[in-house]
Amino acid sequence: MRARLICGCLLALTLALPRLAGGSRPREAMRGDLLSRFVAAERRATLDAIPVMGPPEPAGLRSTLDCLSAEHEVTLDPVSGIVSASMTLRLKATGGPLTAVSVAFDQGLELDSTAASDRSVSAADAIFAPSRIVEMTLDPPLRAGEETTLTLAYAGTLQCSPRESGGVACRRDPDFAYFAQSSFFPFVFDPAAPGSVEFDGLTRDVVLHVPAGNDVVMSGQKVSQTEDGGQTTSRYVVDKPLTRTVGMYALVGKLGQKPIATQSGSATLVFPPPGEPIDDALVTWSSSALDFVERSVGEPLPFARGLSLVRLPKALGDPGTATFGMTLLSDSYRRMGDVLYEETWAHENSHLFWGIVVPETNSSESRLMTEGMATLTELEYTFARHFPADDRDEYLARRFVPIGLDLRAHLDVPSIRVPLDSALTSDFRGATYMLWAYYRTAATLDHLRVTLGEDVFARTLAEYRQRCAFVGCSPSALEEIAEKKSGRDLTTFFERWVTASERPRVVIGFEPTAAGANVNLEKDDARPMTLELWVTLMDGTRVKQKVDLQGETTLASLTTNGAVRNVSASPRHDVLVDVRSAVDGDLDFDGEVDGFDALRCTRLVGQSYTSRGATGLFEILDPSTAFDPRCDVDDSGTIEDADLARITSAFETRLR
Amino acid sequence: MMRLAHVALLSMLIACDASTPRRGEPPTPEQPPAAVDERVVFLRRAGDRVEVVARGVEEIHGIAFRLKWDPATLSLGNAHASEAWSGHVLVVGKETAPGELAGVWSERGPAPGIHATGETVLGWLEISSSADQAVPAFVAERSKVVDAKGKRVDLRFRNPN
Repeated sequence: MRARLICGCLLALTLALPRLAGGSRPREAMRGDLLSRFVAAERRATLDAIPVMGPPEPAGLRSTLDCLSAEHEVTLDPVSGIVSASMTLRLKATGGPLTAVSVAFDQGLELDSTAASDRSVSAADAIFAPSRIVEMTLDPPLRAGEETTLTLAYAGTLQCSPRESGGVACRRDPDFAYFAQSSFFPFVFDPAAPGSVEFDGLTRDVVLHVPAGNDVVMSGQKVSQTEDGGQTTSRYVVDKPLTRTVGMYALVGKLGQKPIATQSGSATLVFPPPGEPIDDALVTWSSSALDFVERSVGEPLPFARGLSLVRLPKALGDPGTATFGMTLLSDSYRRMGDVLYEETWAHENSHLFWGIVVPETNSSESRLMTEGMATLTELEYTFARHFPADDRDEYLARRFVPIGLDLRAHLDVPSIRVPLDSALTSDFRGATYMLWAYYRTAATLDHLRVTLGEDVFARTLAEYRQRCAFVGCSPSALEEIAEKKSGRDLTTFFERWVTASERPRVVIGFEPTAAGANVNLEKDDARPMTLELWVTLMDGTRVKQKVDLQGETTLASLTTNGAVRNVSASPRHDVLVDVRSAVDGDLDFDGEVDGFDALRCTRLVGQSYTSRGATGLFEILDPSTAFDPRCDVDDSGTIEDADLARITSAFETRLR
Repeated sequence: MMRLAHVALLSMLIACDASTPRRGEPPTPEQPPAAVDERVVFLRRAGDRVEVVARGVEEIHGIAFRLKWDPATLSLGNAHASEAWSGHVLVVGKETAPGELAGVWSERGPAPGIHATGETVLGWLEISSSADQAVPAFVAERSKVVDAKGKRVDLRFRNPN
């Protein structure tokens, strides 16, 4: 099971699920509902070893905390873990009053002092191993629209204890010390809505002092690095507004580093010394992935002062993420083989755009334009890198087959856009999360791309990026922009596949004519839909033509330059539309059941596809062995003689 | 005349048997892959049968074919797969209209296909009645051969001149 995600949401939310281990101060001082929420979350987490990756918040938990800027100054010994730190946080109440702010950091650190620029602050804390949660109550509370500046001083020795899920927020080490958010970087949250991931737009300025002789690489853009008085002082900035949950990372020690050739800016691969042979491959893949991502987006990444791509050792238990000017990926993905490891590397790097530059307004509401775009990008990347000689439509359709089968096997997966006031099941995690955040989104984006056409889709993305960069957007923005670029009303598209999860059936029949073919398309409802029809001529030429389906029956007269042999729909619709021939058993849409249909399935007899949750993305990719769901007539998951018998029983049944 | 026909048929059957590799037999090293023009499937009369014969093809996992003939001069019966196939072969044949038949013979599952580098009888159709040496003809655009990977084999369906 591969678990990736954007931003620091994983870290933030796994942080929110630590084991209750008793507080250093009276727990009664903590907000009762916060405690109970953490405990409930902890119980849920124990049910599933897979890390929780950002379940949408239940009803009504919208944060009013709007973080504007943070200045961090930290003195750190990466080996002993001794820390002395301060944070100055400028914040605002948005959408309602704000009565308290919480931070979480390593349980070995303690709050020394806190104050606000214009009001009183009282603090209480408790330990939820391996973190300490500090809640600072503002008196008076911030009114909606009001700002204040909060300062914290904290110090102690990082314990870097493991989470129950096995990962750690930090590791002390002379060579490759690792510090993630909630180690000495406080994770800031609204105790009234601890899981809220609404975009708020936080910039950061981080100064880190470590003993001289250490390398330092951090999230952000490097401003300076100096050595003075036995200390190395590094200053990094996050100079664009990000969600406060985007992870902050610092790596300190004798870091392995290799330069990465890029088209724009500078990039470095960072890894635990002394390095491994895979690092050379990662340098090559990084160059290729960054180039692909920039070309596919059509603009350079905005990290002119440097980009760090980090291979994390598996032992850290951190699957990886993308953050400002930094991508991290666990080398545990090596187990999937080079092609998928490289593909995952491309996925994570595409998040530098789709998530960091262009965030969602609220990633609890949807991951359409972050995980969906990153998944679509990884599929395209692998095509370009490893299968360029294949037919691209067929390659994409092939990749989406197991994704579609997984989705059909898990009908409880929520729709792409989840109402923020909806109550989702408590087991929205693991495979269900993958199916929601990655599979349904990517399949829907590809379906939209086929519906609109590649050019229109590309122009839609370009405007979406322009409008949403560093401010965040929801799927509504995509709908609005796609409508503008295409001149089409996409209300029904978004109703069917974004706010709901339909798989309508469309039945295709056709009659060849002297000029081409008369096509009859039937569906069960009268709502509009657009399909890309594939018309194959007798000489094998494929003609693509979009047809708008209106009402339950649509008749279309297609004009072609030769006699028509087949009329089907692009197989890239198949995840979301159940397209069938008007003749049962006619798998190749030539209007009859014949030996061609039988030969499509005979070699596959005995093949099965068993959905094991969300593994379909990792089904690569040999078309000769790929499961063909059209041959599985009874939808049993296995292609059997009985399926073949069903097909051949209609042998030579013809439409005409 | 009749005696001559029988002799001819017998010699054809003997020749056919001798040149049909057994199932699973690998192509011999001295036989390089045949050129496209040498990869053929054709029909031939053999007594009361019309045989479907392949030659020059490395692997045949399945064949779909459509035949047409003049029903005034020829009448065909059932289609049979030859022994070149395994015991798990799919056999379907159906006369879809007077003078037209569609059929398929195919292995099922991941079994290796037939090596048909030499002349290999894939199957035959019974002749119910005929005039002279009438044979049907392939409808080439509705006929194909696939290998064990499902890939269409590039070959020619050859019809009598």
